[in-house]
Amino acid sequence: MLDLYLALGLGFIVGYIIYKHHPIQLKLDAIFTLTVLLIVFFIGFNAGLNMHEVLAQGLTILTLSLLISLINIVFALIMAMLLRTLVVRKRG
Amino acid sequence: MNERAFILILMLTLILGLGAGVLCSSIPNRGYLNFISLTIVKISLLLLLFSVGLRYSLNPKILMNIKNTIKSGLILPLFSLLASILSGIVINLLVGLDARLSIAISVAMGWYSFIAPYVTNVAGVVYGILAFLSNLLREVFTIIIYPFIPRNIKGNAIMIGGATTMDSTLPVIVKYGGEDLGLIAIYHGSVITLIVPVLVPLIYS
Repeated sequence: MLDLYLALGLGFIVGYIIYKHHPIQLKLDAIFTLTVLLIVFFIGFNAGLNMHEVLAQGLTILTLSLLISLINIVFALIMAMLLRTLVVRKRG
Repeated sequence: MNERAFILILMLTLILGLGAGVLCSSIPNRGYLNFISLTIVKISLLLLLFSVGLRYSLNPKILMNIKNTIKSGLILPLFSLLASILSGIVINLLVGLDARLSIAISVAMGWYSFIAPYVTNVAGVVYGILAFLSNLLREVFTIIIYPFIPRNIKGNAIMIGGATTMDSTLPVIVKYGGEDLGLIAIYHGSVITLIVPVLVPLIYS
């Protein structure tokens, strides 16, 4: 847990130092994309290594993923409507 | 890069990784491969968070925009967070998934590249894949659903994109919600991106 905060904080500090003393343009998008692809590949790799475990729960994972994402979106929409109602009432 | 093309590349990368993993699974004493792949995932996650910090401090405009928008739009990320926590609780009640895990997966709000390695390290690869797919699908559904949302709630409905509203779903929001929503979407996504790495380990570790 602490290592995550440290990495985030270190990024802020290093970025701030670079910004203050050496204002250069870094191509961060490429690093971002590469990191994301690396993460996704090795998660897949790890799942492949433990395929028997993943296969045993394959359909459950797919159904659950679909359900979780839809519930997340439905609740976000409900909150959007609630917020809209609250704002309209406050103005009215 | 086109957003749909990137999602396709992500899925292909996952399948490629799966294939490589299956090929290597016949190697005897493959425990070290498990260890190496999890270590790479962990290091990549740290690198990802490092570059998030770097991106914010190298571009003070983002922080200035947050500062300027915060007075008028603080409520939007708060409602997003509330929606995610509530949906995590509902998922727990509906399917019996561990409450802390379901809330953590929901609170990631579409940031699959953060939550998937985190959950893989903490709870194992099966839950890691679940975290990855459910958050990736949230992004996919946002791209599909957002254009059809009624105009009167389009502004607040950027919440459905979660953390992705600052990058991958931003073009869809601007195209179908209007250019004036662009700044709010970037602000919303930026705040969520800052909150998620702090909140998730507190919820599930």
